[in-house]
Amino acid sequence: MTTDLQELRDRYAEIRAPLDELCLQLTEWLYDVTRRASILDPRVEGRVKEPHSLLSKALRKELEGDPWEDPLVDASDKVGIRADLVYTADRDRLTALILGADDMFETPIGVDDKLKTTLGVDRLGYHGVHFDVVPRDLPGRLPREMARCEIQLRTNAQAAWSMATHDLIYKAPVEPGDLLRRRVNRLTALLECFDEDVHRTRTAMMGREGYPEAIVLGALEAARMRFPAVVYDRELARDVVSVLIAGDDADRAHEIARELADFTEARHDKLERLFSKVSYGHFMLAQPETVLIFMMLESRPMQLRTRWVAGDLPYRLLDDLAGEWGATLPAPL
Amino acid sequence: MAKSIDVGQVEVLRLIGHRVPRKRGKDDTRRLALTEVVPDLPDKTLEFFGLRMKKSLSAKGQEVEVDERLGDPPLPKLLTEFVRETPRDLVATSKAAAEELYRSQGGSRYEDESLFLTLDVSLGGRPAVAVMKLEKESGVEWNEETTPQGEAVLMVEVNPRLFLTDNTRVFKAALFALLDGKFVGVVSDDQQGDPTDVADYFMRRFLGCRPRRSPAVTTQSFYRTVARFVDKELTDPEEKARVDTALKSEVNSNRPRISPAEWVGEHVPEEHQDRLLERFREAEIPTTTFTKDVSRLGNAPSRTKWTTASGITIAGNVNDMAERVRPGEDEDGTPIIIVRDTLTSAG
Repeated sequence: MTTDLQELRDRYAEIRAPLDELCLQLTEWLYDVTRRASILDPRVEGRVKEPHSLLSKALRKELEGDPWEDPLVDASDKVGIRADLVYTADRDRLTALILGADDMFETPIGVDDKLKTTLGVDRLGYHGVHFDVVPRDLPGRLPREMARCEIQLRTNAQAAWSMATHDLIYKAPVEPGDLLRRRVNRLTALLECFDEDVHRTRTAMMGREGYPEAIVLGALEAARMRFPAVVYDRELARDVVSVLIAGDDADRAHEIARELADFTEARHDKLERLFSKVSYGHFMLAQPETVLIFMMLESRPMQLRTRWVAGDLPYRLLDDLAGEWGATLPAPL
Repeated sequence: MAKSIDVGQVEVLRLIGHRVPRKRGKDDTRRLALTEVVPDLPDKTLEFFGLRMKKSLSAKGQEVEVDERLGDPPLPKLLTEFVRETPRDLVATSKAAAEELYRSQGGSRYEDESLFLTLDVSLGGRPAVAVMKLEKESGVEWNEETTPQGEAVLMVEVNPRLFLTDNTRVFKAALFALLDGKFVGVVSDDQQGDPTDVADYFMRRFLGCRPRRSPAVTTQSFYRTVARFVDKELTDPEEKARVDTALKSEVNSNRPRISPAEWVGEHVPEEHQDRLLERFREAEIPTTTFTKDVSRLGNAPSRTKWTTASGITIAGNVNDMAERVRPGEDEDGTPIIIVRDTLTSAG
């Protein structure tokens, strides 16, 4: 026995506060990335390894004959951030975003895709993606060599399996035996089928007629309902949205939905003042699509104008709304 | 650059109007018809005025500031006091402003009388003030009536007392607020065909203001921004040629103003329009309108040259090039350049 557990405990206590700070920083960063990527319902959590857990692992490594030279340096999961996601496609997108975050992390960023490294073509099992990262921006008092962190991405199905097996098998108080191990492991075949069929169903849904418009309209209704509202013309809303969500926008409906949420948040006070006039102001103030029009007036006014005219919508309405928002919009040629 | 006014934040709280005649000579004895009471108007009416003003200011507005070369012009002082005071005396301020308008405007044989409004405005919750000058219009009113015989009839009547309709194009509006303690405003004048009218009478003599950004600096900035955009962000030679020629033609034209958003809509391919508007915003160039002043452009290029893939060169005055030379495609998609002109010499 070479590890001085008391000394390790004391040294770990010294870096605990900066690790807590780093954990919060990384959790917020990852949540922000998932949000900007319009990833559906991500559950992002972070934790700093408890002292007893670090000590146990250090002891176990020694007993297994593969001791850590310095557990505070060698343990890469002292800070662990995890994102549980609904779709495998979102896991793949998030993987690309993390690997591309060289302004956030030192490079190269270590990645372990379990499907490629452990499972291959003839084995079933847990398919998470793990990253070994060192953030560039570290809290003071945290030596860089002790700042390695782990990020895990997995689907909700994999998360459910992982949590159950963690308790029943991995951290089991008594040896579960081969039969119980097999019973749990064979469930991973169902996970793979589940995730794949969910992905295929989603892809099929997104290809159905009216899907992008419905996603955007849903986001608009959610945005508009944050303010004083009256009954509105849903058919008109659908018509306007189908005119404005054209071209490439049809492929980025979820992204537009997220942009609408951000826009509504950023322009909350101005929108609230305008929509408070809904009972006596311009009739379009009752309509949820007005939020999309205001957003496009700020970011893409000429594209808005082009689509509006191409869609044979009355230009007078757009002119009025540009006035309401205080936006400059030249009349069509 | 100091903060700008967000016209979209305007909310009209109260307004008061006065009839302001124009003198038609020394013998014209018509006087100001000043009112004494702020009318109790329904929200819908106030909103109507608010939207009309916002539309005018956002489409044609020019940012202005007090013209200190005029000494201590009375209107900015009056309106600054109004914005600062609590409670705000709209009647007294409005009467004083109307008298100032009556003094500052010259006689016109073409205009009869106007309606002058002072509006107590909230600008995103902070106090602001606006003035509007509206010319009289005629319109037709209609009423569904019933004849003594019980037959339905639609009666129409000419109403010569209209001042502001949904389609009114002729009026002047100005909105002022204190931003970071500085009195700034946005002014629009739908009679901008005559630039001296804005500069001398409404903007300068009445409002005591001048454009907030130097026209020469803004024109230079506009020119450089578009030129850089053509050079760095357009790749298609045909698009480059068109936009570059339009830019040079614009600065060489006799038009007194440039309206960047309109210019972009007219000369820039659709897929690039929003990107150029974004470049204008980054360079703090107003997208509504500004007075053109090419004095900082030096010798603004008045000629341009196009070279084809086979080495043919077409050169000429930018205005002629913009008007007479068009790149395009023929029916089978072959690139062509059409020059609409008369050949006068060769060799």
